[in-house]
Amino acid sequence: MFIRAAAMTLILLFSVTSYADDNQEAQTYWSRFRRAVLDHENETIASMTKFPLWVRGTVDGDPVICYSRKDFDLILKRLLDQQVVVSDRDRVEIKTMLQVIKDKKQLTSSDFRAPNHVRVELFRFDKIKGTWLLTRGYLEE
Amino acid sequence: MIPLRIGSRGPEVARLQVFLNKHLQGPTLKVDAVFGPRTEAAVKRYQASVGIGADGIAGVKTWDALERGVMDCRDASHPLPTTSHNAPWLIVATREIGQSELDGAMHNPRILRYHSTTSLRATSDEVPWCSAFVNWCLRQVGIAGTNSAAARSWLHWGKASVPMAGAIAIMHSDKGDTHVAFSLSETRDHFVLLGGNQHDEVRRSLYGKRHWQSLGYRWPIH
Repeated sequence: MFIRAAAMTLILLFSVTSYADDNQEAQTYWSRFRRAVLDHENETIASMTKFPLWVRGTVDGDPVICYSRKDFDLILKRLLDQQVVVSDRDRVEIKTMLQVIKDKKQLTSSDFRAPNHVRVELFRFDKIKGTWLLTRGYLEE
Repeated sequence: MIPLRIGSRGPEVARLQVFLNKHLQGPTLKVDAVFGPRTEAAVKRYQASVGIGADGIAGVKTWDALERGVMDCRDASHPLPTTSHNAPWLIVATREIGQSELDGAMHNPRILRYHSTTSLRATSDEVPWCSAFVNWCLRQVGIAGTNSAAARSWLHWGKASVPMAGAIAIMHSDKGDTHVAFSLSETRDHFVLLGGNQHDEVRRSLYGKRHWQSLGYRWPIH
């Protein structure tokens, strides 16, 4: 029984470690991005963003608006201030995107929609030519 | 329905106190079937939180909001319903959260499975899939949906429902878009929906009442 439990623990640890290794770059990017957002360092955030930044509303019919660096500060504020529905275990809550980013210190496997594609609620990040970038923002309205 | 006000007594007052305890943050009301000053204050607080005139009298509008489960969700710590005991399809839908469209020529096979439940049988995850998602979730629990990819196909399906967790909500925007998803809750400013093709994935989303209105809520006929 003990040996089985130990083996299961080792397998679990190995899986977690492997996952962490595979996604270390994304995690490093996320930590920098999060810090920059919390410190309101828009220049740093912009340097971690693909321009023009693709922004769209909820449904397919909403127009896609592409923002250049010039208009980035305004749309960034709007994206961060908007409310989103998030779940944490069994709780479902409404928070601002800023609060979501503040609360999210680590990326998890469920954030990876594809190996090079991460979603944190209404922000999308892609690894493009070896570099992780903020590529899309969605608006609730 | 007889409006309940200060001085009222009886089982309906007890029921009101249970509802208020469920929907309000803060101190819990004693369920004593007596409508006293504390119950009146709680009714006013609830009315104000959901945008009903705060007169402290539990009339038709207040009961309607309480029974529909309308909550003030501006308080971020207030939990929203995650599921409904009589809507097993919500559990199915919740498990799908995060299924997302893929870029370019690639299509998420899971979304194509959703599409396979409609007569359109689309082969691209770029084709609107909100109705397909609702059809698929219902099918997983043995309920036949509309088999249509059109959100409006749900308008006369099943039976009419009040807006409650698990009801199928058919929404229309002032820009002319129609959407279908599962209702979770409603706040003063938003409809809270769980659905597919919301920001290109399965997720819970807020639909602002400034731009969206509900065309109807439906419930399966068992």
